[in-house]
Amino acid sequence: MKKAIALVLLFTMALVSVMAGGSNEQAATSADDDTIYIACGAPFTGDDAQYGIFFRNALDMKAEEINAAGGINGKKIQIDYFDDKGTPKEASNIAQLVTSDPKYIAEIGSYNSTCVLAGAPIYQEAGMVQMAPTAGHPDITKANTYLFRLQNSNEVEYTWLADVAVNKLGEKKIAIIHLENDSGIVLSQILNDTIPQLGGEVVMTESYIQGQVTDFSAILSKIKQADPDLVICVTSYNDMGTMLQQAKSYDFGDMKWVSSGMIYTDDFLALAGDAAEGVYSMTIFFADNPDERIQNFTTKYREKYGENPNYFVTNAYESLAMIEQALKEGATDRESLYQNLLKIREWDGETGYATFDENRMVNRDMTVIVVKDGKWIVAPENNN
Amino acid sequence: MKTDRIKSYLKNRRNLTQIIILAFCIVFPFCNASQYVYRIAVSSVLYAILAMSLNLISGVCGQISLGHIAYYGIGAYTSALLTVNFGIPVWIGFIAAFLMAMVFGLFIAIPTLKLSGGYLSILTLSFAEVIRLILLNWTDVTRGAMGILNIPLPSFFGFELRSSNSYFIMVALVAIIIYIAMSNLINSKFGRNLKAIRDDELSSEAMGINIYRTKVIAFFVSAGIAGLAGAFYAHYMRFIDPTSFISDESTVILSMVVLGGMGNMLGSVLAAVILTVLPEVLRSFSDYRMLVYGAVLVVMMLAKVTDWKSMKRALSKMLDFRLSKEERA
Repeated sequence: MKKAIALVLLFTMALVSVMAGGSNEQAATSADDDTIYIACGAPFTGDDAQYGIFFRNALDMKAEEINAAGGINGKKIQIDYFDDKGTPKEASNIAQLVTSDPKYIAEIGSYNSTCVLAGAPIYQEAGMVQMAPTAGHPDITKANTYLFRLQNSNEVEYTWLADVAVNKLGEKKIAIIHLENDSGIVLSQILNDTIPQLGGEVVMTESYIQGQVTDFSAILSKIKQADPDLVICVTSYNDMGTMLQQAKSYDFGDMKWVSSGMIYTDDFLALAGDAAEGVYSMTIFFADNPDERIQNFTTKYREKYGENPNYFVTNAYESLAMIEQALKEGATDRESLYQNLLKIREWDGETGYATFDENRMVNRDMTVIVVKDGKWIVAPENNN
Repeated sequence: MKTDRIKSYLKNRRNLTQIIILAFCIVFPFCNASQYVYRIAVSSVLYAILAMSLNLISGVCGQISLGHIAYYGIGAYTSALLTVNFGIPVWIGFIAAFLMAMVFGLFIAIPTLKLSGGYLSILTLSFAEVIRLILLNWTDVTRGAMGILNIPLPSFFGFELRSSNSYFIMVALVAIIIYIAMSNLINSKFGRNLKAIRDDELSSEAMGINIYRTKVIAFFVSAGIAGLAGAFYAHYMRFIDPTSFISDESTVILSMVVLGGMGNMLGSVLAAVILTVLPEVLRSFSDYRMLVYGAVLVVMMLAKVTDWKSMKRALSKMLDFRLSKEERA
């Protein structure tokens, strides 16, 4: 009996000391005025850990650069990382942990939409800026007015795609192939609305059900009949690969194939083989872009981490760069940081140009890429 | 005379723990700890409710269910959809979630309870997968992977439960009611029937227990409570999508019941709290957090930390072993 009480007491004491230890630490650091604390919640364990590590690499690199250059108005930047395992439950815990601690001025993360949305009401309540580098959900900025998104929405991306087809590649007769599912229908709708506005013409819209079609000859025959100058495919990379293989037996002449960013993978190149030659796609960030600015960034990142940066890296990097800018302009607390970030409507970052609309959604320039000699390169038409 | 009775009541370790927990639940919301601590507390209570409900079928009745998260998900979606789409008050959403999960509990119990052991486990596991896939793919109703946003907060008498401590008061109150109801249920004739079924199905049938009916009722009650917990979760998180209801979560709940000692409700509650608090306490280990968590879990399972008696036995055995070794030397 006595032992039981002793045990319970011991446990309570241990718990209390853990909690008290935590709060002492907080008190000590918030008194320290030379440092600006920013939190990053992302998966560092579990299935999605690699994405969290991309975030950490990018933010570490940027924070080091800022601090090496003397910090922001004499203050150093410190990024604290919190693991949310990619689960909404832990993401909301982190949101509460970060917002309860007055030393944090902003948060960057998380990697996926689920985690961003789980934290959103809490950041909203606390009035704390939440940067969402890579979340793709259409409504994330509606869930939290303090949230800034750095990932193009579908609307933006597919308007870009239409623009690439009509203006950059200069083709007017366009056919669309899309998946017969919710997102496929929505995306083809965006294309169907935008292309005529830009002066093009949609001569055919065809859909198929994913996983049920492996023989695309019916669709390919219809394309042959409609005789477009360019085909836009909103499909997965493996369907695209199969379709291109089968298209070899049709004589399509110099008809162009364009796809959304979904096919920008090495797996697509392996699958489609020589049929992939000349296929266009687009991406937010292309590491081998010969553009000087991009090359500088790629070299810098490669020297530090020995691998090419991707858009997870660049978006996290730009998130911190934007916060840096807002702080340099005199932001001192959560609210003034938010107000200063709202003022940024145009962003010419180290990894590309972007604009923000009144709903804090980004419209980022995309790079047109093309397959040449079995490799992705920047398309010559990119600068048209 | 009266003090004697109180003394003897407190002599019982279980009673003492219950009183400590109760006192904690009363005092804690007014401790003015950080919202983060209260958030973990709410999480712990939700898992405690889930663990209690699973304990009824898996612990007391011995029917191992690997798909308990399905009822949680059904409850969460029922309440969230009703309140978001039709604007009905949240407390009606809670009741609807309870009833809906019960219906599904019945729906899964009736055809499957002729199965037992491993067969039942696998079937419940697939049931949870089916529910998750329905939530994911029935986009017209559930909005699929988009999830449900802006789920309203519950409010009572014009007071919105905005802060985590007020939410804690609500869930803790419900958890205490469930605890009392469940302990009465387990100690009733019905509960003894469940235990008899766990120990030997054939002989309990021979003793005149209607096995089928008993099991169905247990599933019914258990699913309803899990559904209620799901509704609490939805209105607390204010955003749900199918990733919250993956089968990993079922395993977590089952490990709470196992760690608590199958059929030991107080143990389940303690284990739920420990397993929810632990990953947060271990944050200082950063990337190795889950590794340490796993190791601690193994140690706790071996030491049976929620069962003081068996822990004491294990400790004294260890001591004896060392003593005898020294004697030999």
